[in-house]
Amino acid sequence: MTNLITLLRRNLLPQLNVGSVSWAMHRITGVALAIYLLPHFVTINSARGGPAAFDEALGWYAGPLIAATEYLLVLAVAFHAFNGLRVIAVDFFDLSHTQKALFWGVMAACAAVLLGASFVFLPRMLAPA
Amino acid sequence: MHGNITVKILRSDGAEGAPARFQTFQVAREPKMSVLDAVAKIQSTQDASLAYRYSCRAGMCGTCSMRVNGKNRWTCRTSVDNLKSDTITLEPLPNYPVIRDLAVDMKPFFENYRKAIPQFSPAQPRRADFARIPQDAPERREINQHVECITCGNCFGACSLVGSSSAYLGPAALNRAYVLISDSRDGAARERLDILNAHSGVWGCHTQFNCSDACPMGISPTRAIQKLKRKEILHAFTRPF
Repeated sequence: MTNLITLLRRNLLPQLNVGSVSWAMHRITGVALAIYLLPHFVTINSARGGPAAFDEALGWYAGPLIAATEYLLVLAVAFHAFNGLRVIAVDFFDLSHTQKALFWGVMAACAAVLLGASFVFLPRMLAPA
Repeated sequence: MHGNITVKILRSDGAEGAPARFQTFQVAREPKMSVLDAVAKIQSTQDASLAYRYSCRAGMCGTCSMRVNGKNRWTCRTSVDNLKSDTITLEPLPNYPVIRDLAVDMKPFFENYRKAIPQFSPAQPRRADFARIPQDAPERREINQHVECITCGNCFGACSLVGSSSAYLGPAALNRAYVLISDSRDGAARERLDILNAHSGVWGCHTQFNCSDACPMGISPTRAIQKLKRKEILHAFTRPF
């Protein structure tokens, strides 16, 4: 942990290169998705108690705040997935000289997901509770 | 462009924990002036106590490397005009102990460099005939992308992982190891792969490309390290247990 803080303070923040930013975002979204899996498993597991129990568990996830979190979740999944392809391209297909262009491709794909997902999530976020 | 440029230099006496502070100088802009020229001018006309280092002044040794406006650069080949700024901020290269002002101690760089066996270790006895490797052989083309390193240390100073772990060998050492491992005349590939199969070796790289961005010779050590990672995996599967 101290290592991570030293790394951020001394190295990442003063030089925001494309590679550093994409690494940091990949790490942050990765940790966030790992944390998300815990409530996800608990909720899905409730289906073992029958349809009524599952419906009740899904009922926990109502309201605009949850919708906003889910919106962020979709973006995190999108970035982690697209940037994962970029990392594979760099590691296995000798495309390291195109890493910056690939990063902007990742961002463009994320922007497309952002736009598409907003049609689903914005009405839920703005709906009266 | 005419007039003065403002040069802000981070000065310190190098003692551990001693405060570093910026001192500001004004220098008359000259045609085709390099950042190193500006520093030399300050040292010779304004403050003889300013410490910095250079050797070849022609982009061959990398001794004059400094952090210029937040980027590691070889200052002899960095034109003041190309910086497109009237203020130049100079700091010593990060990740090195500072001797004084802009002069850093390259010891951690070369200590780590040596650990990767950077010298050629012939596979054939000395009396053997010359190895004949055509200039356009795939092996040669691969090596060409990584062989021009001048050990200036800019990559070592830019790497986040070097900054967070003193054990990590760093981009230049790994790039050099890749050059020799790719060379069919060299006989120490397995030895190097054993040394580099560690978190202090190839697995310490997080593919941030800071070294590639910093390299004045246009080398991508990141590429070399990614290639080494693949060689490490093959090596792990093929070596006898």
